[in-house]
Amino acid sequence: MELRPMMKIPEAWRLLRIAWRPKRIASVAAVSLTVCLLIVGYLLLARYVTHGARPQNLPESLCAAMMAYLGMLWIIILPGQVSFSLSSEFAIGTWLFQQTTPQSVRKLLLGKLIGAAGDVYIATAIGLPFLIVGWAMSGLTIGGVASSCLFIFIFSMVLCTFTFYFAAMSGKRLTGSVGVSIFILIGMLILYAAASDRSRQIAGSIANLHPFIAAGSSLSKSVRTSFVYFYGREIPTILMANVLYGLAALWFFIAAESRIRRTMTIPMSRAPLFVAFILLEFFIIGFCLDNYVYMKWYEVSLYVFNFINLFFLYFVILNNSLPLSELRPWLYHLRERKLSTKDLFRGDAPAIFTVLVLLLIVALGAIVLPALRVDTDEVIYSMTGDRDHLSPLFGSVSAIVLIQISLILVIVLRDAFFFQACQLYFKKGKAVATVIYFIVFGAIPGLVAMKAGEKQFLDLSPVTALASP
Amino acid sequence: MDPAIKTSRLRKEYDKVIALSALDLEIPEGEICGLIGPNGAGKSTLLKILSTVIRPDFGLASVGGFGVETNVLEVRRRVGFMPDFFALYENMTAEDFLIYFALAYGMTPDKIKPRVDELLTLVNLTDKRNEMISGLSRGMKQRLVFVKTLIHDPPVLLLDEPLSGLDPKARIEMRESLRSLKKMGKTIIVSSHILAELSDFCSYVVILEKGILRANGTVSQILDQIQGALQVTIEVTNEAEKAKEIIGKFKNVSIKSGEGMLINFSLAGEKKELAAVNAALVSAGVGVVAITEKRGDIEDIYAKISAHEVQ
Repeated sequence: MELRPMMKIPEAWRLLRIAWRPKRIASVAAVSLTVCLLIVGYLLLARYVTHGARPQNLPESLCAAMMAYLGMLWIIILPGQVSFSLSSEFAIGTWLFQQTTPQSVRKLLLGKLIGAAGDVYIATAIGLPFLIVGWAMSGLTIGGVASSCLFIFIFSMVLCTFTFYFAAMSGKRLTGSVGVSIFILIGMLILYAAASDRSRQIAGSIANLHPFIAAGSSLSKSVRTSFVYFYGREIPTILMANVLYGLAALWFFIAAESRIRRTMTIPMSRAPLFVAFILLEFFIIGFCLDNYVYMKWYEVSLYVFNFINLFFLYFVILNNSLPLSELRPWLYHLRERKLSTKDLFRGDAPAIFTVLVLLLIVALGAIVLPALRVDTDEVIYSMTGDRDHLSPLFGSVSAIVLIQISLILVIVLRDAFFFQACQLYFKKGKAVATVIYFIVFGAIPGLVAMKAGEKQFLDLSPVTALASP
Repeated sequence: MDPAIKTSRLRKEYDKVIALSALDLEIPEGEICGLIGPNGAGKSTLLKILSTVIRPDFGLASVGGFGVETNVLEVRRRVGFMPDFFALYENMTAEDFLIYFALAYGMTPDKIKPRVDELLTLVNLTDKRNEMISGLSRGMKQRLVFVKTLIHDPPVLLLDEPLSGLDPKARIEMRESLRSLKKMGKTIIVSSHILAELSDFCSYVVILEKGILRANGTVSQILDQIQGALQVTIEVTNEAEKAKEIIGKFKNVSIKSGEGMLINFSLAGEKKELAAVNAALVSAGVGVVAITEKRGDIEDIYAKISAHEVQ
């Protein structure tokens, strides 16, 4: 198979050339067909066994079962294959050749995303007719089935891009990078299974964003017609889920690209990564603002948001920053290295950009809120009790939340820089440095605070410790 | 005109081990440059920096005027790099392997086929084009990687130990290929431990030791620098003692040895003084059979420099 159209994306061409050899196509197709036939056989057998006791809609069951099969292909198998296609290059050593070609990292990663799915395409092609037959005979709407398929695809992209990022971080640790998608998946299933009805209720619409629930339940009318609030507006849940996961996939893709460009010694600005980061943040703020059940809405929002930020700021930013030795040569006694102001800004862009945006939000809030003479307590109280008051006060409330979140981000970002400095000082692996950092600046101050009481809490974080008298 | 390769105060450290230290180097276009040094001298590090695989700690390096840090993609288009240790996509065919890299280097599909045919013919792998790489021998894989470095027709080739793993016939063919590439105007940097291999085709030499540049220049330039006086052997047919006496009377000559009819001496002056020596011997009735000027080779250069005879 010549695959001429794929030649514009060389990596996709390479992987598909390997995957689409006649013998391999035949093997994958045979396995997939067997699975599909077993599913049909099982459904027929179940119908025969339970005949009369529990009437079943066979076509609808077939449709749901095929959806689960496609979900397994795209959500479990594909991320593993995609991750392997990258991490195996590091492990085996072929990455050296990739490093010497002028093809863009974006094209390379896109090629891996498209090409690593060679087997999955074949298996899906075999499974699709079964799904179509099930749908045609069941009376399910095309919209429901299509939106489920779209959701599976988008969520698959989230996992694939995440495993890319993880593979880029893991370097030569092949097994870790392959296992991560399965680990995440199992973790998600366990978490959901362990969640009580009450906690699901608390989580409210967030629970509907769980991929399996959303994918599966989007077949039913009740979920298709459900909605969540987003900046005070009603948005269909399934659309919200697709957009959120789509943004997350995009974010991880950009993060992986940024990381790999660094390993390929291609200089780049980290600005796109942080534009994507801030977009995602605003999306999450919008989502968290209106979706609460029992807890005070702003507490839920902040908990969720800060948890996400901890991951992004402590883990992702640091691993995508230029080493301090490059940004601040004087720290590393590299006075002779000549970096232009432009180079320094480019390297510092994420930090500068993020800090500027966050400070701007804080400053604007500090100016705008007093000018509007808004009683923030009154606003929050009215929010928690009465949704009718939401609209006229919504803008001010958003500003308060943004300010709170921005302040937290600034603090975390500050810690991130010191973490980087610690890493340089200790010259340890990132994991070891993280542990050391959190013991010194997190656990010890926390223990002191517990012992001495909240009012006696001493913030031993570097900046405030230095700033305090 | 920019030199093909230029480095300025280039430095690279690995966990406090200095691989390259303040390396200042210029390699002119169109030379076959032998990169010589013991293990750990920094040869592979230099080639990896020039091919943009790793970044220098500081200092500058450029290929064809393009900085390896500031114009990474341009440098990659101009360089073909063959590492000393490599892994291949074992589940691809030899032909697909070359097509893939041709595509990665931005070649259009219509130009790829003839180029792949030409290169497979160059290294005698035409009959193996549809075989899986896993089924090729070590030497065949070596040749395949060599032609992979040529696929985009780069003006600069960086070859790290390209002759290792090849059988004698393939080594001869590889040397011939390098000579023809030089004729095509390409600049080739070849690193090797086996100096005899480099002697017969390198026109330029760079000697590294513990990350420090010990010498660089054309072979004759370095020889002139390290040998100083010209080493000459004269073979006579008769009266060897008388001949030794005559030669010894010349101001710039110092007799080294005389065995039988062979007289070895060094000439510190200009080469044309040999004509006067010859004339004096002939007029004294001494039959001169041959006057041989002994030039050193890369092995001599390396032996002298590594013995710290020249700073």
